[in-house]
Amino acid sequence: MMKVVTPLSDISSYEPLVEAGADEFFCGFIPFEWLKVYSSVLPLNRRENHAISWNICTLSSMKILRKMVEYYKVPVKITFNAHYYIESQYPVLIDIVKKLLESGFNNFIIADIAFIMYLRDKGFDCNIHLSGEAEVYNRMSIRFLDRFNIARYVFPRKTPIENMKSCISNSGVLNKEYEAFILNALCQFSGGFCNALHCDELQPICSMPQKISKTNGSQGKFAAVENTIRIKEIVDSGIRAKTEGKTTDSDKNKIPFGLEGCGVCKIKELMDIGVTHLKIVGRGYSLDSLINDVKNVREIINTAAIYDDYGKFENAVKENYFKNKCPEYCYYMKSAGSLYKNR
Amino acid sequence: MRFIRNKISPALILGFIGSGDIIILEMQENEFVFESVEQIETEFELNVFIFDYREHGYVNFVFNNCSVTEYRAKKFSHEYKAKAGNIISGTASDFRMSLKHITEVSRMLLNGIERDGEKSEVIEWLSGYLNIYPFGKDTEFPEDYTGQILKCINSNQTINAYRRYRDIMSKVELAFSLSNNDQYRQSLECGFDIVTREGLKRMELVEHGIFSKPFSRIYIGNEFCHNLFPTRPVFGRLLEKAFDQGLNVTVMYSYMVDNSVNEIKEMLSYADNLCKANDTTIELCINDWGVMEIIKENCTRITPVLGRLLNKRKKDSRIDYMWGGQKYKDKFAENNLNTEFFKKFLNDMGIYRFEFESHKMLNKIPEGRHSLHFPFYQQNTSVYCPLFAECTNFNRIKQELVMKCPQYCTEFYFKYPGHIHIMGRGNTIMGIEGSLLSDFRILEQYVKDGVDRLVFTAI
Repeated sequence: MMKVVTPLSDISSYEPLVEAGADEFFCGFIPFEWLKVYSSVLPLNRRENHAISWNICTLSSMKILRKMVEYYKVPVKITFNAHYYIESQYPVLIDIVKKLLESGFNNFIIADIAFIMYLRDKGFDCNIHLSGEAEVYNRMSIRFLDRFNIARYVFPRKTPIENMKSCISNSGVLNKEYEAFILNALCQFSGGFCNALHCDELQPICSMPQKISKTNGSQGKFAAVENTIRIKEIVDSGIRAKTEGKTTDSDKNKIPFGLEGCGVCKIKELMDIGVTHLKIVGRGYSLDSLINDVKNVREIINTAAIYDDYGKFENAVKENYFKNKCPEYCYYMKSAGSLYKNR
Repeated sequence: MRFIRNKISPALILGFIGSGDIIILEMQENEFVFESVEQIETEFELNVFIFDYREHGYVNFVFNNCSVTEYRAKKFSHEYKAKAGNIISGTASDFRMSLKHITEVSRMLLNGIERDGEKSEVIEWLSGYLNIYPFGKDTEFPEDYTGQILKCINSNQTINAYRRYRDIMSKVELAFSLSNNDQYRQSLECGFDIVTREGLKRMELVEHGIFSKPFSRIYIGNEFCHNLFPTRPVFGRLLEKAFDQGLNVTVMYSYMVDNSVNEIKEMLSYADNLCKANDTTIELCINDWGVMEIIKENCTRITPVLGRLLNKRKKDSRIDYMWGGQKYKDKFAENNLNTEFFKKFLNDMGIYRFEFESHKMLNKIPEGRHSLHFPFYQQNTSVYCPLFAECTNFNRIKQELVMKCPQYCTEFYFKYPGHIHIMGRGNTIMGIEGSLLSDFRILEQYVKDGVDRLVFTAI
């Protein structure tokens, strides 16, 4: 049965999320020995803010978490998914890995190939999940990277289902697990190719004000597009003027299921192509919203077995969870044009 | 987003009893609540570290004679309420102020610093210590595409500077990058010389000392967008033309989506055969490990070089406004290419040259001979093009994989606030960095460190 991989920012959320149906957790662990030297400026994982509670920061928490894992048998993997580490960070990193292994955690999500190589060279026999931040999009990459004994490949967010299927079937590597994103935080850019700063004091680059405009060499080849964009700008500025200042703080916690990125109607298809784990994004999110997310995804997975037909399953999901009005941002929209380019 | 907004981040306040850390749940001047994995003694010394935004580091306070006032056994841990003892390191008033500061600053940050505006008391206080991003300037957009670029690369130079650049360039190979269909077409119609000259003219760089020597290498392709690689016939003709003119060639390819695998295999095999027929070799920028897997199986005349998408580092034009950014400036210059073992791994695979970019932070160049691209650098790339999404779905986040692209990027781009010197070209945010053109000492240092090739991209 497909497993639901759930974010964990605080150990007090572990039990309620297990009850909601989580099958596995991922969390960030950034202890003081890292923070005092590197702060969040040189991040240990991809949750790079300091003021938001995304990461666990004490070894005590991890030891308590270990007791919970032993009791409930729902495992936790730790994110070491920064894009790269520098040489001087390695001793601290290895110390953290050792402490985690001693505490009973041996599943790590890693994006930096150099760090994976280092761990293997030093004889660390941990389970490595290759992060979506490593941007592995094709079967040849899986083949290349299998030399590092990767236990699970996490497909990057922007991977069409057909491509996942081809990777799983045609890479030639056997006995692997595959994880796909299913909910929340559908970013404008590809995470592994995003080199922008993510810190409290700056807006995320994808939220920066931006306007579509014409280049100087423009020849008016897309007049219809240009007209529609112009009309949309007028309409949008009218909507902005009407709604400015009208959202309140309490609105921030009432965001509907799937609004920030959704792929749940494709769960059956993902299951059938060999995806074993579904990832819900949401470290730092409120517990209530995560419980809702986990429960819904769990229910939808359980429902998938009832349907033979993908279309009927999709329709059922859209009707039951979205009243036939899908959230705007879809993880798995169909590809534009044929997948095979005419050359 | 649904973030927890009513809680101080655990990264901002940490506590230790002896050598073991504890989980601080609540902290006030005289009393605190914490959780521990093991039971503790009823009296103890507490070490507290509180983050100070002004110094971007932790301030330490030590309390001795702390005593437990309440205890609750939890299922997996122990929760204590304790009275804080005497403060023996730091002062009580500093401790009070530290708690007050992290509460106020983190509340402001969690609610969105850009909303508070410059008149907020917290921001006013912080601005005495830190560089606060000028959110007000985000409403000012550049007039036009070319104008914005020219402003960023303002390259007026003295005669002395020209000579210095010319002297430095005597040791450096100069390459021109062709990275879109217009450039490919113009190169075939008019020749590389015309395209490079026109490119330099548009950028007002004809007289610059860097270009005091001819281009001896052509980069063909695109490292960031799979739809901007030339078609097979065009690619073949460009290669042949370059070979005829005695130009060295580096091919650029981006990430490889799975449905392109067979096509890329064929393309590389074709290029390899063309090289054999011309008794030459070409380089290939590797931006996807899968492409490396193909080359090692099939190609003998293609030399891999490490492409920019695999040379991972922080590149953000707003770095001056990052709190703590200056403190860690030297460390930002490094990445995993500066580790000997990873460099050896790459060398063992035949990758000796790495492609770098001139951007707002300096690069620490590892040993060896490497390339430096300018004046544009890649900041963000999306495999699903946001410009295509904007032009077809009129929403840049409603994205999908595009394989038949009408190339909206020839006509449109995303404008960003002018003061941050970036622009959205197709699926990539490019930064524009002119320092290499305006300060010869930067180039001089890079050449000393091992850069032996400059790669120029024109508009």
